[in-house]
Amino acid sequence: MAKRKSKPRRVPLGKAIRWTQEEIDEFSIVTATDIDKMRAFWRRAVSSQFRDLIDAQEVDDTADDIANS
Amino acid sequence: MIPPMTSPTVSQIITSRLTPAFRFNPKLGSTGRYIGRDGRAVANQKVIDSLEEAVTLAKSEMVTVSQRLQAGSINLADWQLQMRDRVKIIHTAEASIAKGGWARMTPSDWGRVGSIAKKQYAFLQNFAIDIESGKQKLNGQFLRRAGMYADAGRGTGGDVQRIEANKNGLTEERRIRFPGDSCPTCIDQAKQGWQPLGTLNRIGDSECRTNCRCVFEFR
Repeated sequence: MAKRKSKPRRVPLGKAIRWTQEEIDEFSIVTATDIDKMRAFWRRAVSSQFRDLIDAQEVDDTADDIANS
Repeated sequence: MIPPMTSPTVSQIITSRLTPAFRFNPKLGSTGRYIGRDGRAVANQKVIDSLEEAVTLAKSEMVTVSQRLQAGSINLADWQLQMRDRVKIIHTAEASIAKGGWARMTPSDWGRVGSIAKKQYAFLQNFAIDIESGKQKLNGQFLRRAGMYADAGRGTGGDVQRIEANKNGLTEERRIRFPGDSCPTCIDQAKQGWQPLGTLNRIGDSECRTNCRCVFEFR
């Protein structure tokens, strides 16, 4: 006899987290890990042509760029 | 005979795999322009389109996490933490792109993003409390509300651009409406044309709220 599929158990909703102001202050700080996560996200999100946009390096060779803009 | 060594040309250096695919020239345009490996400026619309792709993915991930809460696969606290992480990602990404790449972000820029994120976390906490109390049902409106946290990232990009415009000595701004947007305030704001910098509504501060896809131009 085939086993009857059991319904997946629902996790109880539970309580919302009440963050203290100190906790909010702490995790609003942008860390190196956050930057890595953001870069990885960007690479997943955008079309291949613009994946490296987030890693652009500043230049100041104005003359060349103005000529091409 | 050994051929004479020749120096690489500027364009060879630029196209080398060792150089970044994109550069950012802060002196081009009003708030700087991205330059591709071919040495040509990237069209602003392409940058905006990429940002929209990022908002779309962030929104899709937030909706997926929210659907897991609806389905009872995760609890409210897990949902709140996963949403919190995604809020930070979209705001840091929007700010970094508006600035010209994450490497140009200064500690004070990151601090500004952190302060925007703080507000969003407070909204998110209230959202979670609404769910806990039953004030917010886990229905379609819940999914839409969750997705708005991704849309809110657009405003952060606009904020960073305004600061950059100010730093570059620009004094005026105007809002360009996204074709098809019909929010009365956005229509009115766009009609006002050039105004002193910092006087028009922030992106997201109109009736269309986080759905606002207006962009700023500066001079």
